[in-house]
Amino acid sequence: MKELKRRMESFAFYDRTAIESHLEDMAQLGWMVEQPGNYLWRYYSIQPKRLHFSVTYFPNASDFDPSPTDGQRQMEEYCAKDGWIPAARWGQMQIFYNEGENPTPIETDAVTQVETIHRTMHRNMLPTHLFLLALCFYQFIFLGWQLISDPVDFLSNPYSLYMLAVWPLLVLSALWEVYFYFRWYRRAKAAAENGVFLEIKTHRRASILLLTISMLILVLTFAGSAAGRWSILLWLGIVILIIFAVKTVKAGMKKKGVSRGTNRTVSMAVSVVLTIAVMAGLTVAIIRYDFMDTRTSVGSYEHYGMTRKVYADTIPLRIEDLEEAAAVSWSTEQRRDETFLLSNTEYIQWPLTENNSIPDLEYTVTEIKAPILYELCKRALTRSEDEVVDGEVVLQDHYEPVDAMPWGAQEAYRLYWSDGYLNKYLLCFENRIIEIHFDWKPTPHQMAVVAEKLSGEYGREVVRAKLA
Amino acid sequence: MPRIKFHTLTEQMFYILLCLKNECYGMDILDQVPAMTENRVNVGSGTLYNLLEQFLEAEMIRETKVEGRRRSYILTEKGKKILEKEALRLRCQLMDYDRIFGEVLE
Repeated sequence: MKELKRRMESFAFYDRTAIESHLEDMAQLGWMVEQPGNYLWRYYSIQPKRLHFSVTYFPNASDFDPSPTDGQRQMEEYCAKDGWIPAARWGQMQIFYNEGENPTPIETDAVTQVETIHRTMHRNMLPTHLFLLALCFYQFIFLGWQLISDPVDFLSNPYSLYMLAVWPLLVLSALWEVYFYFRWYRRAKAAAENGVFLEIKTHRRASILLLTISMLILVLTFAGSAAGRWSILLWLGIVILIIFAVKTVKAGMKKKGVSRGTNRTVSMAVSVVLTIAVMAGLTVAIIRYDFMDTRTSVGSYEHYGMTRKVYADTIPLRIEDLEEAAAVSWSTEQRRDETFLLSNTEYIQWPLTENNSIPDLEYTVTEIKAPILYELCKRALTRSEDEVVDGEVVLQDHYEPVDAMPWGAQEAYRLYWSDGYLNKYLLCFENRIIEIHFDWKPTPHQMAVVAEKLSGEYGREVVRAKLA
Repeated sequence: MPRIKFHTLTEQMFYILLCLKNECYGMDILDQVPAMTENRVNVGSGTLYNLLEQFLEAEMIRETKVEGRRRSYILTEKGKKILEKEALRLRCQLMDYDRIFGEVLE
């Protein structure tokens, strides 16, 4: 029984020179290629021997073909005449080996060879890279829109920052490969006119470096939190699952002799359907079951027909700090998103009772670590929001400035809407902005307590000076 | 300036077309070319396959017989003209060489 092994290989599809050289080395170590792949190549054990390898390209072949085409079989017959034996096939790539000392090469005409490679790449690498570039461009637009419309949420979310860092790297990687391919092609065409086979230099290490940097950014961005680590594992699991499922379906159909067109259509459909299903399932799990919520709840409570989780998180400002609170139990929650640029922490305190006269308290503390982002965040948080019904603006939430002194703040705003105001305030301190929502109109004393508890050192100094 | 396909022929293209002056199986071209050139020129099996496909597409050759995977081909008029043009080009090159060096090669 032959021994198998898998190795991670990273060759550009058209880099026949490197592939041939590598396979010759592997044969001398006692391994023959069985199945190349995008990342993992499979080998089986042989007696170590010196073999010649030749990588050829068949533009009209496809990875979805159930068996070699008539053209491929014809070529294999021609190759057999010179002692070339088929070793493996991967889409448009065919690999042959020869045990002869000095066999006639499979490709003896440089012009034809360059043209064949180019026709192959037109159907293989280039559409993939163009699609990736289009996808990256779309993502950029989408991320840019997210950043502009809600910079606080975006910049405090590690996932968003990762996307912002990674997409340019992917664009660079794709452009790098395309650039070096066309550079080689242009030079190879010229050399072929003089009968010279130009060696291929793909600078693949740069692509690997970009990929490694992306992975490092991923780890650094998420590894700081338990939720982040779960996120990495979850996404990796999803990607591996989808790739494995599609590969299994494709291989199964090839084995059954299903035609190329049907196989391609079904494989793509499986990929799309599975992705949608997994994303939908994940969304339901997150919303309904708080799947990604790694916080520990201390119980649950039936509140107006809904079951809510009860928490006992430590929060900096409690209703008891502001007024004499009723003798009820409370749920206190803290939800924090943080990156090296921004942290955004939401605090909620609500009573475990259906007595409407007992207030609850909500506030958000946005801590801006990079001063350059302060104005951007403030503008976003004070932006007015319109609600349009039947083409008419019926509600317009907007903040208007109010006296900041009672709050010990640099600036303070109150939320107004169409025909009145709410007891919702936006308080601007040196490096933090606080949004706080009261169920009642706060007194000056309560405003000072808020400043004392939430504002950081600047606000506390102002309050102390005022009290003095 | 991009090369016009088959405007000039490489050595491999030339000898494959030469073999197809008479009806010939594709496989046999691999032996005929070294034979007619005293082993000076060898055509790779991959090159042969690709060029036969390109010649068929350009209507420079046509299939005469298909017996399973054994196919035979022959030059078309278009193919003959292109081969003739290449032969003329090579003769002119040779004449230029003789004129400059003042000797006739055996």
